[in-house]
Amino acid sequence: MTDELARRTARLSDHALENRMLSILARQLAEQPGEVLQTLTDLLVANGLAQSAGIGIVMMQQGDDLFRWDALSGGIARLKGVTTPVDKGPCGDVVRQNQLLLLRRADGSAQDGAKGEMMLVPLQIDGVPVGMLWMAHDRAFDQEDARLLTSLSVFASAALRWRHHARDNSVAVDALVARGLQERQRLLLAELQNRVRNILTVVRSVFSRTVEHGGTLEEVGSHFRGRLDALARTQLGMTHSLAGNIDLENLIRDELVSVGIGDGPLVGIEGPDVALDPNQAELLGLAFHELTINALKYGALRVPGASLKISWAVNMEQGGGRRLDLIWQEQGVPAVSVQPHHEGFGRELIEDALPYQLGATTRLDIGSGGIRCSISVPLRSGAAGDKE
Amino acid sequence: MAGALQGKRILVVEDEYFIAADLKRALCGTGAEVIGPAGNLAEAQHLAGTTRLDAAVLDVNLGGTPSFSLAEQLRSDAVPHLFLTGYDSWSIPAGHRTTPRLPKPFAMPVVMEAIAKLFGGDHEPPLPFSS
Repeated sequence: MTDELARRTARLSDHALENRMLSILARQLAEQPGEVLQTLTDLLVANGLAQSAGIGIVMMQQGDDLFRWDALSGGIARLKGVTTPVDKGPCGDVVRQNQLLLLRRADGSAQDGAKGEMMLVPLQIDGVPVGMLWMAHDRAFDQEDARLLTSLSVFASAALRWRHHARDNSVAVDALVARGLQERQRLLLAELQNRVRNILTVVRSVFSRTVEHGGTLEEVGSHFRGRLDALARTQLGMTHSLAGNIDLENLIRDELVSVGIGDGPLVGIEGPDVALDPNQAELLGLAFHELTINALKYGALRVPGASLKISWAVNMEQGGGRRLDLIWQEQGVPAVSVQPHHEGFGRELIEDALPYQLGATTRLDIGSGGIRCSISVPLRSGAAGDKE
Repeated sequence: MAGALQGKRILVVEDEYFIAADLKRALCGTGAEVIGPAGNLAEAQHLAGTTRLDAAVLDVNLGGTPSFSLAEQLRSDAVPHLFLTGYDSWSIPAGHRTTPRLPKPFAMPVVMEAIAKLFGGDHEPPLPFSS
């Protein structure tokens, strides 16, 4: 229900109260830093902001993560110093998600029997959550509470940092910070590994298909190199933007430039800016490659006087999503049909792979005048094959 | 493994078209009946919930969504299954680490053999490549 905060009207800030609390905490941080945590939760309760409040610090004990309740105020104060598993409940969630949470405590199951709401914020050192601060009340919290609690949590984090520097081993900060960084690196590495191994599997499959469609060794080699290069160009393009998105027009132009086709009167490229996610870019890039090679060998890029027009628009779908509608159209190619022997791959890619993997609707016609290919792809649905 | 897959109904869940199509073709070549392939979790769950299955082959990452919930569904339905994945074992939740796992990229005969072994009886220890 954290989203609900945004819809609630925030009360006016009580700057006098906030200043009073902050100055007490600041003085204590300088004089008795070990007491800051308890003072903070006491202040929340004494000033009526919370009926109960607490601070839990993550401890690692024989492989299990525990919260040790280093500060507790209100009806729950007698439990100070006890430990509970991090795995269970909302306190663990706030540390795992590393962001503010708002919860309803309607069931009265909390140990202090409190009803109403509970607001929780993570305490961080170097961005790594090492504990959490919560407050509970039977009133509804608003954005002002969120602002205040976040502001106060800075003092709690500072106090933890002090305990860390004072080599107080009761705070497992070093281990947690190290583990946090390690965890992030591990996730990044896993994603990268998965991506690399996936693309290798795809390359392997593309290779088998290229061989199956036959031709001389030289032809097979040239087709496969072209497809590999198209995949590589997309990979390269992804590293140019933070989100890994690729501009549609760049994708098309890069493909044409790779076979020596630049802007000219016979090639028209026209459409609005469209950002493709990596999944879309990979397959569409491959499709544009097949269409380009076909045009170069048999179609508009080979026949004198013929032309190629690539145009697209972004349209709204009935469900409210956006859809890219692209048309690749050759004109002036005589109808003498040379059946390209590698057509099988391009056709399968456009007619089967794009619908399966991108939820696209496609149509590929070879008629008088040349190839006409229409591709309609839902945008924003980054998920593969997500047709909903 | 000759004939081991004959007539078996195998669910294929894989979001990459080329891999899914290769799996389908290879399975059909062994005489198995392919259910799917499904490229996203919702479709796969629907197929698993409405179709009788003898076994399943699951990609771990379906367009950013893990397939572990589907694996749990299959386990509770006693449908043997294996993972195809580019992830190392430490990225697999503890509850699924004993599930047979084939690393990508893979050679198709190895996958077919691994699927055939799913029918080899429950007494066997986990397959060598799952460690």
